Amino acid sequence: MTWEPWLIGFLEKWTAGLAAESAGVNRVRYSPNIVLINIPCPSRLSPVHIVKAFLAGADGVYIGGSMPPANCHYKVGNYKTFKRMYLLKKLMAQFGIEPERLRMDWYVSPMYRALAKNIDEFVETIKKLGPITSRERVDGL
Amino acid sequence: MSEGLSIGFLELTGCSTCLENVLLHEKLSGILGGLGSVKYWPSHGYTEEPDSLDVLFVSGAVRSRGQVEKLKKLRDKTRVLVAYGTCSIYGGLIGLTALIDASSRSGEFLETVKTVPDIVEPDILVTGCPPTRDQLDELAGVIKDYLENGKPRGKVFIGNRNSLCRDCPRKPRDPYRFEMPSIKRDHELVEDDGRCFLEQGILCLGPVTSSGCGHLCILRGRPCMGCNGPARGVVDQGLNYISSIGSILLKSMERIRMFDYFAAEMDKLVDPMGYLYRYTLPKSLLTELALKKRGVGEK
Ligand code: SF4
Ligand code: SF4
Repeated sequence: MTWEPWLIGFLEKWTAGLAAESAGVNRVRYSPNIVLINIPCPSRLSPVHIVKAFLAGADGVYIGGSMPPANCHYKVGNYKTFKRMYLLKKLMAQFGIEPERLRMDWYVSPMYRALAKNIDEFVETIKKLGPITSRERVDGL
Repeated sequence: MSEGLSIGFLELTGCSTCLENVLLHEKLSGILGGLGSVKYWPSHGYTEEPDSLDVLFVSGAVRSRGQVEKLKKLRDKTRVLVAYGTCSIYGGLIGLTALIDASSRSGEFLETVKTVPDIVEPDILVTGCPPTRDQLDELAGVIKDYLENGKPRGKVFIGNRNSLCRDCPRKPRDPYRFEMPSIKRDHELVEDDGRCFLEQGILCLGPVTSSGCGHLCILRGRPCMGCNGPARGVVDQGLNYISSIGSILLKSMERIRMFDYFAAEMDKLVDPMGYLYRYTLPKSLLTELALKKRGVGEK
């Protein structure tokens, strides 16, 4: 069985999440390798959650937040997210885990085409990087 | 009650200076019966392995296969096993080699650094580099209880596990407008005004470190480096720490500057792995991930 990447994405529900919904309404296709989860604000994501996602077998983690400076529903959530994930990427690089496996993009709600394009791009990146662990892909995941 | 007690000391990889403190502490030494009851301490000439031990103190991290064997063998003979010092529980400074695979040089080495609780079940855990007198006082009480009342029940953690910030003598100017204005290396702090280190731009690991040490460094004008291990509720010192830094770093510049401004400031933290995991690298989730990625331990 050929290897297919398995990715997980967290979308801020007010902007990126709305964009994902619009993508569905407008029949815009994006890669089925990603599982998207809507959350109120990605600044609630602790770096611990991201690393646990990797440990559970995700080959990449995607975060869709709201466009700075002024689109965040909670005023500064995107800034907090950026700072945490930037430091996490620095740490990952030092541990020998490709920081490209964690990607953040910033949206306003009409950007559904950009969302689909970014996700496809991200899946391609991960395909080039290969699986994160030597695990066999479990069927049904 | 000290007659006939047999105690042992096992030094694994580490400086093991903390072990000497056990017999220098009057109360603990009194309970254990002092030097007279030492039956096993290889580095001090007591090399013969006894048939049974009442108390065994283990310090240092586990780096070789021989140490794993030795530890398992001694666990079976010991009533109360004390994992003593940060190295034995979290890896300590030796743990910084967790990602160096020494097994390619000699088959005797493990691929990574293990800790005592990874191999055997300790009865008592004492963190600290080294454990302080207060912790030894508490330890003396617990050991006395164990020796008098028979079989130990479950694991006991010595020392306060609250975060250091909780009762830190350094206070921020206004806790509701708490902000970290920059990231400085500690030699760049010219004038210490006695406020919380984070508010002065110095990275202090207090928020994620347990306060068993009683603020040793902070009372002496140094930021915490995390030697006491994670506080209660902290999953991973480094990851939880960057989560808290993310909330307070340059807070007043949010929505004014763009991301590259923050990135430039965060790049001043040149070696986040060495700084945030100085004492707990083998226990980090990222280490687990990096080892899994390499396929270590999947045989
Ligand atoms: S960060 Fe350090 S100096 Fe500030 S309150 Fe916590 S322990 Fe004290
Ligand atoms: S202040 Fe931090 S580094 Fe200093 S002894 Fe306490 S835990 Fe260790």
